Amino acid sequence: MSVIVLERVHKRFRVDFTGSGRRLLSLDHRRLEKWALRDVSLTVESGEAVGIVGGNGSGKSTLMRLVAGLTRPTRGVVRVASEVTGILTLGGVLEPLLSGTENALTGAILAGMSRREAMKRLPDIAEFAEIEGAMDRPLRTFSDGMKLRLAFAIAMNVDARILLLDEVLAVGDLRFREKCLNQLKALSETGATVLLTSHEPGHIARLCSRTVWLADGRVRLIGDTKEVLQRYANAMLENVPPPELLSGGGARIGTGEVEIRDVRLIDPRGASVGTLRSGDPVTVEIDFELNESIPDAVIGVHVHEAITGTHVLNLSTEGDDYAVGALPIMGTVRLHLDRLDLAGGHYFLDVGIYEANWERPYAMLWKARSFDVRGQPATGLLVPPRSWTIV
Amino acid sequence: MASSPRRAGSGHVRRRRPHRRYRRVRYNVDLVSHLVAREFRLRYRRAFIGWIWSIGQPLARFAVFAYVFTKVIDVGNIPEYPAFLFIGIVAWTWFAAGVQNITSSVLVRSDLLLRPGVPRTAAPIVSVLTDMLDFLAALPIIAVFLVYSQGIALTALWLPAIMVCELLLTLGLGMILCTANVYLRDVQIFTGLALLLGFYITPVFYARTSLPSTVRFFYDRNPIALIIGAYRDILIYHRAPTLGSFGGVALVSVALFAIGFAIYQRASATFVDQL
Repeated sequence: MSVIVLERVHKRFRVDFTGSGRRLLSLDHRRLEKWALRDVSLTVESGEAVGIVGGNGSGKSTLMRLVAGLTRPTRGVVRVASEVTGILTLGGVLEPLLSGTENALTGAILAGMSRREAMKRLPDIAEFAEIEGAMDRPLRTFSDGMKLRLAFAIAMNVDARILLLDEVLAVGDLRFREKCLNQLKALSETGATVLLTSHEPGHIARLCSRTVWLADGRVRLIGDTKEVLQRYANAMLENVPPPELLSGGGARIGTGEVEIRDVRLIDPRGASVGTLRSGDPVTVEIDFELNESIPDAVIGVHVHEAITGTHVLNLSTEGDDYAVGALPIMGTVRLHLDRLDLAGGHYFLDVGIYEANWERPYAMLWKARSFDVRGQPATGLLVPPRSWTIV
Repeated sequence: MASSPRRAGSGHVRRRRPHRRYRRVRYNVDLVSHLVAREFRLRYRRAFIGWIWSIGQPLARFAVFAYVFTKVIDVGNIPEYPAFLFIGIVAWTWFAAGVQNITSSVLVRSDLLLRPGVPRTAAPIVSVLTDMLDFLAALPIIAVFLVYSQGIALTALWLPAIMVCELLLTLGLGMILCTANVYLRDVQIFTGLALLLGFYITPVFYARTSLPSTVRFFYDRNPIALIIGAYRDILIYHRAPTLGSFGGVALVSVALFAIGFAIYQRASATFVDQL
């Protein structure tokens, strides 16, 4: 019997709708829409364990939310034949001031148990989470690991016919993870249907007979887990050719849709320089050329210290909420830094233009440029403007 | 500008068998009562005198107003003013806190919307019932006030009916604002301001009779003013509500609840996408 049926499901989001109204009005409206899922069909039989793989933003979580009935598809049909439970978010309802017992009770009720059932299951939950001795203590005294184990123990103790787990198997130490996998295996053998997303292909391989590979909201492949995982892994490697070493000690990596022609550091007078004064403003310029048209991208600029390799700067258009959009065939990216308070020393600049979901680099130059910072040498990496006072 | 979330094609279909209904209802009762009790306990958790604050707050407000409006500002001669004022404060507080808290309830308890199997209306309902507990906690104090004025009459038995009206009115209004607030956070700020103003245009500390007749027209169309008036009638003045005096309010409360519930129910199907 099929317990989960998705028929040609589409899901569209309006991005940034809850942003400020002023920003909303100034934005290009087409950019406000994002198709998280496109034409996804999937049938899961009762008692099956199905894995879902795919990169960030490929639609895994959206698929889970639709199956859980938390939201509706924009187009298509989602049919689910029985009660669903699962962990789609960790923590959340956990309340630091209340005791472990009270939190476990709330968690169990929210997971679908009646109050009576929840009370009855409390000892099992505490035992599975391995926190029997701590249940009377307020949750704020729990370690992160204990909280996660508690959340997981609750999910494992609900008698749901369908169990959804979204990227939560990374919980706890190796031994606890092992225990969870075994418990999941046991649940699935007694007829529970499990849907699982994980960054760890190993978990899916152990648990799931069938796997769905999502890419950019579409089903790339559905089939035998071993085969899908193999093809998924191959694709990840295939897409990126081996790095090409550069004469200056750097490397060029990328799939080649974009080429980075030149990278410069520009000082306040507008000259391209190799030496900066600590605290001066500086502009990073990246000249690029497209070999193929690109609808959207993420651009990253990174600085690492030459000797230790410590990253002192990791900036990206995504992190700064700058919408890149379609790139021109030829152009220059400019990143202006109001000041760069690095200690005197030798540094490397790495730049990259990546696929919008960070899945692969179109073009990346590692050690694209080296530069010196002149200023007070320091054992730390930062020398911000400062003053001392004693009062 | 894009408005309400787009209606889905055929949507999410979950087959439900009739014999599951009963279990479902029982589960929902369990869920809501557990969450309300938890929330109420949490509200005063680390306070030294705990839940007594739920009585202390309206009493403190009462003390301030009672001083100001008997010694500083003249609000006219209102019979049984202490009871009149206290009932006004308690009833208004439930309404105002209720509407304000429901408006932000979905954002505050967004995790409830991420739980499969938890009804989407849980957030606003838990919110308004928690505020109702403060109202219930104040009832014994009201009783004390009444004993020291005209005594308690049988008309007090109307209390649950009027409370249901206030509950439905608060929920209905709150759910509409809550839905809007998911898309535009301006709403919760606006709501706070509107309620502040509402406190003054609703006769909480003054009587309807002290209003000029032109303003009285609006008073008679302000449902919360009429509800507060009804509480005073049955509790202090021993007057039972009549169809003419209260039928309209009851109808408006039920209608507003139905509208609010329908709007919320429809829009909340895709709230998760906005959080």
